[in-house]
Amino acid sequence: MHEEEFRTRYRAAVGDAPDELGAVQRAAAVVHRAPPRPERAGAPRAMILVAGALAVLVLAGLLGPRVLRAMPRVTTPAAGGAPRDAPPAAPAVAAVATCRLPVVVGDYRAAAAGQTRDDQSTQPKYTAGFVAPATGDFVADPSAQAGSLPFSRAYVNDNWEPESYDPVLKRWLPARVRQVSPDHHSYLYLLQSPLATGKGSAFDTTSLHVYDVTTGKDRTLWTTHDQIGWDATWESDGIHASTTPGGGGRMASWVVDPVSGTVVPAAPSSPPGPSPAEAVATFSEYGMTKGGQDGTDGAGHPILLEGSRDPGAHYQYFVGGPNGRRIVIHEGTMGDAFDFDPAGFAVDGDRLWSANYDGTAIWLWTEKDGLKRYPLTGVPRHDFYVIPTVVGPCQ
Amino acid sequence: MTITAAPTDAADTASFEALIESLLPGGYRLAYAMLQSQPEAEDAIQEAALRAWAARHRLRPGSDPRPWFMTIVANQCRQQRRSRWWSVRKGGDLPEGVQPAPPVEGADLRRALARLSHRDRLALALRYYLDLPFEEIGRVQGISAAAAKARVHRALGRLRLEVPEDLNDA
Repeated sequence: MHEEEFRTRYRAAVGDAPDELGAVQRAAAVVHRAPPRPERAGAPRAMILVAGALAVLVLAGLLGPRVLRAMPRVTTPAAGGAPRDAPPAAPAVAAVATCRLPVVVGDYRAAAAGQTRDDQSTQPKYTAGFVAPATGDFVADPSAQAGSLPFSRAYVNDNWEPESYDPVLKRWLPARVRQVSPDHHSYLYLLQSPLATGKGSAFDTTSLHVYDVTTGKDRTLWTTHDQIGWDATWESDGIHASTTPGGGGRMASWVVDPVSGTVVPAAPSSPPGPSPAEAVATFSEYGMTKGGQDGTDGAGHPILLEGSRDPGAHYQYFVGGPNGRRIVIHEGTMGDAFDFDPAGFAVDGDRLWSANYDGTAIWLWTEKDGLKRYPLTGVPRHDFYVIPTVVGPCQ
Repeated sequence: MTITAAPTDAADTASFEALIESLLPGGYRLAYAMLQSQPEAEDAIQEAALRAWAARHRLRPGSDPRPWFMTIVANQCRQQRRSRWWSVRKGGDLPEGVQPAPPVEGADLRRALARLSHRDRLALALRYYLDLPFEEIGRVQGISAAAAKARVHRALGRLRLEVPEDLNDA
């Protein structure tokens, strides 16, 4: 076989890079949103820029590449809707000795081996249940079923997944904690239309919905030809969402009134995610050169990882306090005997809960008492393809 | 793709943006060839673009920016494969609604490519997916043109062991 013939076979095997134009436009938008031009030279400044870029990289990893700012082409606020009940009704922090922690175990083994998303058998599988820190046993909860609860869908094969356990409704929801209304009656979800198939996405619209669990009423709050980011959150001043034009381009951030559906531009620093410039500012404030942000604590302070999860890497997890103060959660070497490797953090009053990536431990941290380890049993241990995540407060 | 030389004033943001945009299509194709996943290739090219932005002062004025940028993309792909499951978490994922089905044809060859080392896979992608000359493959991989040629042929030899039907006489 000649080299040219091998080239042909190689390209047939690898296939054409899909949606090149869109991918390039989205990448170009990232560059256009890069932080303001720095002064030339000067090592500290350069370090800050690199740190900022790294922060964005990790954030991009956490939030996904589609979290880019863009202007929408169409906004169609929906009218009406049930009035929003006021105060949050979350119960007080429960005693560790008697409470149960909601945990979802994601099994990505089949997905990792799968060749196509059209094959249902290769979809990730999720098991929801509770862990009593006092005993460390994970017990699956058979009530974690879809029932009539609608859920976010972009892909024809997307399945219902329990994403949080609401302490007021006492049920599993297909929405993250920050997508539940402050009164715990409703949650938001998103629908893409038409749904994508294994042949690609040709979506025409996405719509933001609010589903009231207590009444079973579903409302379409906003429909747009742009892609609404899946990281939309329900904050005290409304639903925060970002949009990206279907053909790629700059992202835009919006606040949607959950009652009237009115859509207004969001302030630059508002949720759901920080811009690259804000990430630079965060890294700069804490003197970080490498790492990323892993959510926020109950007071809205960033939870930061300095270093990496690479084996042997020195790392420090800390809460970013005022004036650059680091409130250290833990510091060590990745893979050392202490084996602190948190798969995200769940806020529970002034406490932070986490499950270890390898399914061996639950961690509890407070500023006052520090970090405490609870052995975890009952979660399959299959290296990094099975990941437990704490999805709500202990109750 | 038109490749321009690095702007003489590397700190010129507008020049850099124009430069980087001309490099993105090739970078994205390289990322796709290396990662075989559209969402991951998109992640890689976006992150590579940011890294390039942060490191733009290191691009010597007048030098060819393509090997420089391809090196950043290749490093990003390697890092992403190493830490693929870092971003897999409940609630942090976004839907991957635009993932196409990989072609059925060449499945054995694709699996064999996936088992190659990063540098061998990169050498083949640069040669047979991006059609780069050996001189440029060498610059991306930090080796001479002759060494790049040898690396490509060694990689072909390793592939031949796994999929001889795809590589007879190649």
